[in-house]
This record gives sequence, structure tokens and C-alpha cells, in this order.
Amino acid sequence: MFEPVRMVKVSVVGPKEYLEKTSDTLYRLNGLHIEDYREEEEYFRIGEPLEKASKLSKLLVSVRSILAYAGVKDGHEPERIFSISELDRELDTKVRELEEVINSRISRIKEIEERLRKISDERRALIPLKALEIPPNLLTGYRNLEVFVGFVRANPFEKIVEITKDFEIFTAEFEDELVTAVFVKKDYADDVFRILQEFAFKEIPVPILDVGYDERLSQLDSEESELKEELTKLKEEIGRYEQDNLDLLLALEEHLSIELEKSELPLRVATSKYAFVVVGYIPEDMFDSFRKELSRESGGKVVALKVNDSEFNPPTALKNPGFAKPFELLTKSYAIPRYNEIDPTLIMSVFFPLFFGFMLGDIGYGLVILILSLWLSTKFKTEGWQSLLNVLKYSAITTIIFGFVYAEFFGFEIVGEESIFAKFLGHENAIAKAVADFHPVTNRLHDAPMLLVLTIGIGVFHMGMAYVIGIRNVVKEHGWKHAIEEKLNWFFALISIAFIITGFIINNTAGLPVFQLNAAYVIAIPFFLAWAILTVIGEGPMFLIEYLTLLSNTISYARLLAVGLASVGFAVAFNYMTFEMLWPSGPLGILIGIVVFAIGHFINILLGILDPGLQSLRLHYVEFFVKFFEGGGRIYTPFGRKRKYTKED
Amino acid sequence: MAVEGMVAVGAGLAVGLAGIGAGLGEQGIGAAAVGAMAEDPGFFGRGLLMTVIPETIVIFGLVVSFLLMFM
Repeated sequence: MFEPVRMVKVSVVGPKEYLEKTSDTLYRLNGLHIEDYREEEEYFRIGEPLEKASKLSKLLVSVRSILAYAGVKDGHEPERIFSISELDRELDTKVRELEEVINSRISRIKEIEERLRKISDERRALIPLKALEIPPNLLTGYRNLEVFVGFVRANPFEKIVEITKDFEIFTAEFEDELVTAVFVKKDYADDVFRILQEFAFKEIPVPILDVGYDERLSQLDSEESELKEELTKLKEEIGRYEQDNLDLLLALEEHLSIELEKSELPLRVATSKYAFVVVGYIPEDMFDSFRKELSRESGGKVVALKVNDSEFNPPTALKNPGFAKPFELLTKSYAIPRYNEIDPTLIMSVFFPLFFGFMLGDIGYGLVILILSLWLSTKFKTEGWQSLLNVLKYSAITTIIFGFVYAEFFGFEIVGEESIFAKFLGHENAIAKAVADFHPVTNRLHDAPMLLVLTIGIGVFHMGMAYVIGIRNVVKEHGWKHAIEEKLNWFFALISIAFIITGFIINNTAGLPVFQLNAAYVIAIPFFLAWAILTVIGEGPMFLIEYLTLLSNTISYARLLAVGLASVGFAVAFNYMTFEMLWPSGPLGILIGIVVFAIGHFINILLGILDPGLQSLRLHYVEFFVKFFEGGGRIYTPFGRKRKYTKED
Repeated sequence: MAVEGMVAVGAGLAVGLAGIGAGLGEQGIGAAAVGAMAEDPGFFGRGLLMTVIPETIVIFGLVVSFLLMFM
């Protein structure tokens, strides 16, 4: 439960003729994490992919290119599941049919899109030319004249005059720019062009036209609208065809990628002239059935053996009970546990929602977040979103529970003299009277100092757990000596900090001088000394300064209270503004009050999801994980997959 | 009254100034962390860890203000 799944290293050995068959079997069993064979030597070499691989990858490319047009939604559920034999039988014809229907249309679409681009280019050139009011046939086709047509920053007349007088210039304003046409003798063309460049000349390509500008523009318009109509029709046709055949397409894609993966297995294994060897890891409890199945499928020709060699570096398959599964996402985004490390997911799945609830703690907010996450989980179906929303659901539930502990509902108190009922229904109301004598388990605003001490206590407990796990991890990897010098000493340091803080509080509440010796301080001394000696021996005197880091880690848990107080503060402020300040001032006040109330609590709920979530995550990442969790594992990815759109016969 | 008022001001300054300090500290780290995350989304966990390290300063400020106000 706290450890990743136990693995054994296996090698699967058999004659080369059975490799294809073995590939099928391995894929179906979906349990072997294959270690790719890398070194080539005299007898063993990396295998060649099966013959069908190149054909399969070609087909796969065409299916995927068609699918790229279809735009499959996440979480698409197939209506029909195709069997493999059916797909195999019709593979070639199906793919060809799809290609014919789709590719002819796609190539026509490309043609149209090209033509549309040309039309818009031409139009961009024509409109400024039209502003010049020179007919198009006069702009081109001279033997001794060069015509420059384009945009310039300013009128270049004065400058051109300095070179030659044999020229003609026309200009017109067009959208903050100047369009110009300069007619000049070919002899002076280069010089004039240089001058034009000084005026940031941008050439307009002049189309060859036998009609006027307006006529041409309307021709372009009508051609464009025709093409656009055809384009939407073609796209609709493709879309309809793809929707009708979506399940088939997806099934083909899945089937082909599976077959391709299988036929490329030889690239990952060692083969000699007559035999092959696949090396990998498999969960311990799968091994027996795995071995039996392989031998049955091959008539005893292919055998699986356990390997006990020095290179035992298995991948990590996290194993957690169902309710903790969503939290694996949070663990993984920090690091993937190594095979021999404790997987902290389960502990996190308890403490993360607790911290969240402790911080937010409001029945109303909890309900809103719960409903929101339930609704969103019907919309976002991907695995990542589902995990995240499940985490949010747990957190919402703890928020409601802590809401009852604090007796808060959207910042109002639900019991006591000033309860929400007394405020809205009057002090004489039956419900208000009934709840008037109750008190919340704790009121965050009044009991803040007490809660501050409690949060520090929670921190000490939480980090103490971290050190216990740390000791276990180090013992497993490096032995007891290291564990005592690296982890146990810090556990002692934590205990000494806990007692020093206790002593501080005792003196403070009794009104004594802060550092007067008391029982708690006395208990802290031996732990402090033990820590100091072990640290100097194990890690060196430099590390003594880290005591302060641990102290700040401990105090860091005060955020459990701080974030909550901020949230209550906001809520109370918005309620006060709405019901005490705006509500009594008449209809307009009521209207503004409702807006303030809605916006205020909306913002506060958004903050209430974000901040407690991040702070709770931070307490785990920074204060908790750092003390034991190193990570650096490889994730277990078995050869095989679960079929979604296809089924085996 | 005057002393109590000054205590309240002091408590406010403790949290507020610590907040500004933490913000200044976090701005550089946060920008770098987001940059690293754009390169490799797997950096999220570590990036968050780095970014929030200066935040503890605010908690110190908060604790100081608590000691001022309540003890």
C-alpha cells in the first residue's frame, strides 16, 4: 500500500520463429515492462522489425491524417466496437475507400484555399491602384518607360527632380499612406528606384487586366463567394462522412497502432541467429500466470525465467486504494517515487483534504465547490481533470465538515446570539432562539491564538511522520548508520522545537519572562544536544544552521490558520457591506447590495479554491516531501494496452 | 489607548511589509519557474516548491503580529 508494486525481473527466451507469436501473447497479457536491448555483441544483435511493419505504418499515416480532420472529442464513447478479424479482412479496402472519399475532397479544398489566397492578394493590390485613378492597361507594357507603383512615406517629387526632369508622378492618399505611380525613362530607372527606397517604397504588383478596376473587383467578389460556398459544402461532406465513420476510423487507428507496436517489438529485444531474448519487469503476482500462458501459447517453446542479477532497477507502478488514486496526480507532479521508496500518495490523500477543509471551513462554500466539481466532472472527461476534480470533491466535503466545526455559512455564524437566523428572522424567531444557546466547536476569529498553537502541533505531527518515513527509506537504501545521522537527528531536532515552543507558550500564558526555565525547556535540552552531536558527526557543523530552517518549517504550518482567517475576513466584510450598510438604505441599496454580495462571494470562492489548494499542496511539497521523498523513479509502462474501439475475437 | 493603537499599527506593518518582501522575492523565482514549466510541464511540482519558498516570511510576520495582538 505504501510501497510501489513488487516486481520481478524476467527474461523471455525462445526460438526466433516464435517471436511474432510471442509478441502477440505479450501484448495481450499487457504486463511486461520491456527493457530495451541496446548493446550489440557478437552473438546477440537488435532484431529487425517484422515485414508487415512498413505497410502498417503507411496505412496508419493515412488513417491518422484523415482523423486529424475529424477532431475527436476527449472522452468520446464508441457506439460500435469492431472486432479485429473484421478489420483485418477489410483493412486494405476500407483504408482505400476512406482515402478515395476523403483525399479527393481534401485536395480540392487545398486548391480552393490556394485560389482564395490569390484572390485576396489581387484585391489588396487593386484597391489602392483604384485610388490612383489610372486605368490598369496604362500602368504596364512600355518599351522605354519604367513604371514604379507602390506605397511611399512621402511625396518623392522634389528628390526625383534633382536627377531628371523627364518623369511623371501621380499620387493619391490611401488609408494613412501615399500611393504613387512614377513613370520614368529606363535610363534613370535605377537612380529613381534608389530615391524611392529612401521613401520606404513598397511595391504593388500590377495585375494585367483588360477590364476596369470596379468590374474586376466585382468579378473577384463573385468568384470568391462561389468558392467559399463550395468550400463549406466540401468540409460539411467530409465532416458528415467522418462522423458516420468515426468509430471505424478510431478502430482502424487503434488496431493499426497496436499491430505496428507488435511488429516493432524485435527492435527492443536481443536476437541471435536462431533465438530471441526479451528482458523486462513484471509484477510479482502476475509472474506465474504469465509464464504458464507463454508456454501454453507456444507449445512449451518459449519460456519465461526469473532473473536474479545485480542490475535490478525495476520501474514504479503506484499501488493505492481507489479513493487515494486521484492524489497520485499530485505525487507524480512532484516526482515519481523510486522502487524502494515509500509512496506518499496515501498519506497525502488523508492530509490534503484535511488541510484544505481546515483552511476554508465553511458550509456554504463547501457546498458550492462540491456542486461545481460534480458538474465539471461531467464536462471534463480526461484523466487528469477527473483526478483533479476528485481531489476537489474530497476537499469540498472536508470543507463542509469543518464548516460545522466552525459553524460558518457564507461567513455568517449559524449558531449563537448573532446567528444568521437571528439576523434575518429576528431575535424572537423560534429557530433563532433554539440555536442561540449553542456555541461552535471553535470560533476562528475569537480562538485564533489557541488555533495557532494547534496548527503548530499539526505541523510537528505531520513532519514527524515525514521523518519516520525518511528513516525507513534511508535504512532500506543505506543502512541504519546513515538513517541515524541524517534523519533521526532531525527527528530529535523537531521534538526539541516542539518542546521549546511549548515552553514559550507556558511562560507566555503564565505571564513569566519568556526564557525562564520550565519543564518543557528542560525536556527539550537532551533532544537538542542529541541532534547537535549527531549532526556534527554525520553531516558536519555547517548543517547546524539548518535548525532554523526546520523552525521556519514548523511555524509555516500557521498558514493553516492564516489563510482561513483571510477567507472569513473577506466573507464577513462582504456580508457587513451588504446587509448592514447597503440593505437598510432603500431599493437602490438593496440592488447594489445584492451585486456586492454576489461578486464578493464569487471572488472569495475562487480564492477559496485556489489558495487553500495551493497552500495545502505547498505544505506537502515543501514541508513534508522534502524530508523523505527523493523520487527519480521510472513509470511502469507494460507492453500492451487496453483496447477501447476494438475487441479481440 | 495610544499604546494599543501603536501595537495594532505594528501588527499591520509586520504582515504588510513581510508580504511586500515575499512578493519581491517571489517575482523572480515565479517568472523563472513559469519559463521552466513552458519548457517542461513536468517541472510544475518543483517549480511550485521553489516559488513559494519566500512565502514563509509572511507567516513569520503573521506570527509576530499575533504575538503583538493577543499575548
